[in-house]
Amino acid sequence: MVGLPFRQLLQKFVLYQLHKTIGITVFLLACTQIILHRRRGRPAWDADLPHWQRRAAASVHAALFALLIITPVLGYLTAATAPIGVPTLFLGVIPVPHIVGTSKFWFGILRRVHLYLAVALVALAAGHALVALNRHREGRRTLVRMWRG
Amino acid sequence: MPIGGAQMLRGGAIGRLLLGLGCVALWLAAAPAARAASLYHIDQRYGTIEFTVSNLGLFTTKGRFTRFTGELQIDPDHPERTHVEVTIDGNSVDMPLKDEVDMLRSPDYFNTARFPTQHFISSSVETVSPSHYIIHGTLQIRGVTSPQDLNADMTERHVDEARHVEWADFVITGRMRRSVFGMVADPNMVSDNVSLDIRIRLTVEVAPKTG
Repeated sequence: MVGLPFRQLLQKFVLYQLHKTIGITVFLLACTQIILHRRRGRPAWDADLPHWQRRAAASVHAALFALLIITPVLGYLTAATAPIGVPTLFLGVIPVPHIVGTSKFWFGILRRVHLYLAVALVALAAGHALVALNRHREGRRTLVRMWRG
Repeated sequence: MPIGGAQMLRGGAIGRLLLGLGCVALWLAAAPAARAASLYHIDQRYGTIEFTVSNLGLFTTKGRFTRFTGELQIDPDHPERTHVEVTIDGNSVDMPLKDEVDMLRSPDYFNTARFPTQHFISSSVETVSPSHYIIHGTLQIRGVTSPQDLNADMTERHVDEARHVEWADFVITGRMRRSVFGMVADPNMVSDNVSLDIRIRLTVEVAPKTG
């Protein structure tokens, strides 16, 4: 969506709105997940898992939650500060008010930070997924515990 | 020397201007001197020219021109002969993004490489009330000439006794269809209807009150 030529106005508009809808959905799901996590507690560790691996896993999970919350928020602020002034429409129809106004200065900063955090989120999620799949293949029923708790 | 606002070369105060344009002002009816025509030079120092389009009916985008020149000639004795001409520098179009400016200068829009200026020339002025006028004229964009009406409202008038200056603010609005001038690109994202919003301040010197 960023790489599309500016003259392809409608395509760019649709792709950005789709991107923002996905981001808002991720944010809402992440909030729900955090609330559930707090209320139900996390699944029990495997008895034979070394302590350092437990700490590593907990750190990665905390980092993932943090990124899942902060990245969409920064994306929303990027959209709000964008000088072009296009509104945010969840699902294309529900207006999401911009609580800050346009600002070329802040847009430049937020845009880059949002991009870097998104890349970090994807990288971390990929690493997390690989380790979870590996664990599951070792016979630890990891995926089932992720799903059922 | 005129202090600010559009420079006036000759002629009477804004009070006489408004009389000439149909305002009832009994004390001026007794003015003995012949009321000379007034010529104002207008440019971007004295006002703004903005336009607005709708995008998908969901939001609007505004832009403006930062360089334009014009002349306003007011004839108090024949108010319908008031004449205004404005030439806009198309390359001075100003938008929040450079991509938008490039788009408006491109052949699909103003095509400033071939048509560097836009023109408005009035043919007559109709007085609706002492502070509301309709300017009939023609608009020329991209080599196409089309009739254009503009509504002019005087929103404020103020005499600054200390500086011996009288000024009047006008808000001039109109609507045009860009397809009439051959600008048909992006019909879904950029509306055909374009709203015009022009603001201008006219200033004249007034003689200091004696006695």
